[in-house]
Amino acid sequence: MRLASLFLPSLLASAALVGCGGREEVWDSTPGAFIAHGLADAAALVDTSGERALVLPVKADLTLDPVSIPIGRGFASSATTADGKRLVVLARGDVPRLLPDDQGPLLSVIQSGAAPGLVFGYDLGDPLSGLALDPESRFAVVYPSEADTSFVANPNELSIVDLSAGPSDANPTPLTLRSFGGRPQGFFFTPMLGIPGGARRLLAVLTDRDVGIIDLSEPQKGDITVRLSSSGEKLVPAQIAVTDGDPALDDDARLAIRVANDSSVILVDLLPAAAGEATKAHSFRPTPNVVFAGGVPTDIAFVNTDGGLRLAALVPAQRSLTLIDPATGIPSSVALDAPFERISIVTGVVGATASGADMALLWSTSSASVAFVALGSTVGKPYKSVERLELEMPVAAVYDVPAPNDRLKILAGVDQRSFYVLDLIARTASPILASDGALFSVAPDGRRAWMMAPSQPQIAKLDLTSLHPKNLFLTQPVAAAFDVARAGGGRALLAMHATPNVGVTVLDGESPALETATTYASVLLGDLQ
Amino acid sequence: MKRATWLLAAALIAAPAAAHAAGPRVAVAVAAPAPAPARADDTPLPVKSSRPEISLEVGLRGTLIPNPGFDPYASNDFLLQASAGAGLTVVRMGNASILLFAEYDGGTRRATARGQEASLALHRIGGAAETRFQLGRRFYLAARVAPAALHLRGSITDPTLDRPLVSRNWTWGLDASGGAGLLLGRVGARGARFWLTLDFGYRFAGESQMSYAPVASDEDPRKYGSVMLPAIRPAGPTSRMTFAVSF
Repeated sequence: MRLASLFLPSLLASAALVGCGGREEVWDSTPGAFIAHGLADAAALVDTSGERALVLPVKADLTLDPVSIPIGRGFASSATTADGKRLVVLARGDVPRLLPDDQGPLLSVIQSGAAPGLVFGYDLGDPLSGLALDPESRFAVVYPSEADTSFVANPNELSIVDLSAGPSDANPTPLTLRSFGGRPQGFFFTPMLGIPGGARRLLAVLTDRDVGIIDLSEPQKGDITVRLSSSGEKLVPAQIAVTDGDPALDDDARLAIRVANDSSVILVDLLPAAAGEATKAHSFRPTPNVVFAGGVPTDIAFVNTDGGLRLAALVPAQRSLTLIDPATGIPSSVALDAPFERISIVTGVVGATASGADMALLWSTSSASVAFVALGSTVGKPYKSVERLELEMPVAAVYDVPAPNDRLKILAGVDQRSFYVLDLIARTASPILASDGALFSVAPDGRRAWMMAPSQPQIAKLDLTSLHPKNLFLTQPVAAAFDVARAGGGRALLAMHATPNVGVTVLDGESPALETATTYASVLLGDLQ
Repeated sequence: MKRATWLLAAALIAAPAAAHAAGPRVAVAVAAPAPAPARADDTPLPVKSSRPEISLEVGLRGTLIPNPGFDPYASNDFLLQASAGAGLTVVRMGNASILLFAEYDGGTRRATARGQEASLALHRIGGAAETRFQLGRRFYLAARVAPAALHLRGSITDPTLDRPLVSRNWTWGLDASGGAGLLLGRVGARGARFWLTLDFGYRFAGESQMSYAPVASDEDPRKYGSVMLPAIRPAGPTSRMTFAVSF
């Protein structure tokens, strides 16, 4: 029996020894904040503690075909490119890096499509958290955000990444902005501009006191700083508008910089660089001129009028639209009946005036109306050019609708319950009412919109042709909804439920019905490598 | 697989009766009676009779499953199972003997997987062929091969559902092990003997896909999709300790 008495302890000891292997850390973690993105043909969940992106394409039978793609440690930020084809994820890596195999900062570019996967992974020099993407899906900028709290940090260090090319010695391009005390607050990517030295795109970096202009074709040359004040007064750039001017000319492209809480607007002409100038590394020379809008503008845009190119600046305190000749700086004012704050050029939808001038849509967060302004008829007859449309509620946001219904815009009321489908051609505004504060999402194919409330287990499809809403009752509130193309044709809606491991309801996008929907629970438990 | 296993078990259980009825036809499986040599003490060598020796076992099995698929259900790689078996000696040649067994092992691990309760039950149903070599009156060494059917049932609670997500799957297993038995004592007129056995070995096993969906419910007619957790291959070093009685 003495020998027998040794068996059990030996078994237990062996069990303890062999059972001491641990498990992957991810199973001990809980998913982080709900982060979801919509791509053209998939949705993507960013699983921060799982260090992955879970891309969710939809098969023809409304089931998901998840693909898990590593994104590295230390998630910082993510965004989709404007074309909806790629997800860009910024990770800070291991901070601090103590071991040779600790991960460094990484920018991952993930594609959806038939074979979701990592397209490029760009190693970055510093663990930064700010990410800005080019609206033309070509470039990304990684910059220090307020969340970056290194012991010593240079807030003006940027990395410019060309997303169309793989990583190389020249990509990403690190650079440090010339600084007069400021730090980046925002970025503005211009379209292709005909400027001295050839057509190219520019990146304008808005700091808290000046604007840096970077040539995206040669970012290694650094920036040209446009100082907004020479008197020491701190002027904060709030918005940039751009015009290429006459496409046949390369010396009439301009930027306009709206200054926060100031009646000044800085017009920046992009002129040929003169030999011997400090900016000789660049072929162009930004030349600022200060013009006055007659009050504090809240929005600016370059517009074509029958008098030529003008900078339009909305001045709600004056209830006016100021049109500034960029060549002379001379303003003229169009009186408005309401304090409109935002301007949107809708010429592409409604067509230009007989004289080739733009049409503008104006709206306001404080006045329950919108206005159409025919800018071609403003010279000499300003009042006749404005057509107001009364609403029940001021407008908080305007959503564009893609073709074939691009004649429509969705106006979201400030109460988040009132919506208007604005027909730019018929000049009608059809009210759509939600019983609870609703989020709005327009399908990329322009045929429908989806409305959801974060606290309601409901979602509604709004047909943008008939304006007929179809309500659907789900079991969980919908935190986000993405209308995506599904394999084999057709559309699918992925209604994302922000439950601990995220639930997803997949509906037929064109004919949503619960009978045909597929529901997934605890999606973030799945497809972990 | 399950059916074959039960047929094997039934065959093993029925074997003693069949041997008794068939008489000489099973003589190859039963050592011919031989006069036992005189012993200095009262403890006999293993029974040598015309009746096959029956063994019944209960005990514990410990298996190390160093497979990522096991991670959601356990904070380490160890799976402890209850074990039971029944067998009979089919061949005896001197101090060596061959036994056939029917076995069942069952055990569960539970853990929190990303904040949700997850459990895995592993059931093993199979047979075994064991060769023993008697080193003395109280001790033998053994080697065994044990094919089996493995049933895995995973369960995960989801706070938004009134029932768990479940995955069920079958796969195959094959244990190869060696061990020893120690005679603890004997009682009864028929000479029932009590053994403590311990074996160590390795389990080979097939991979099991773990596809989770809620169990069907009449109150919830929704169509659910599956969530794929890592596939499990429940292979690895294994050991078993049993208390056995043979008669």
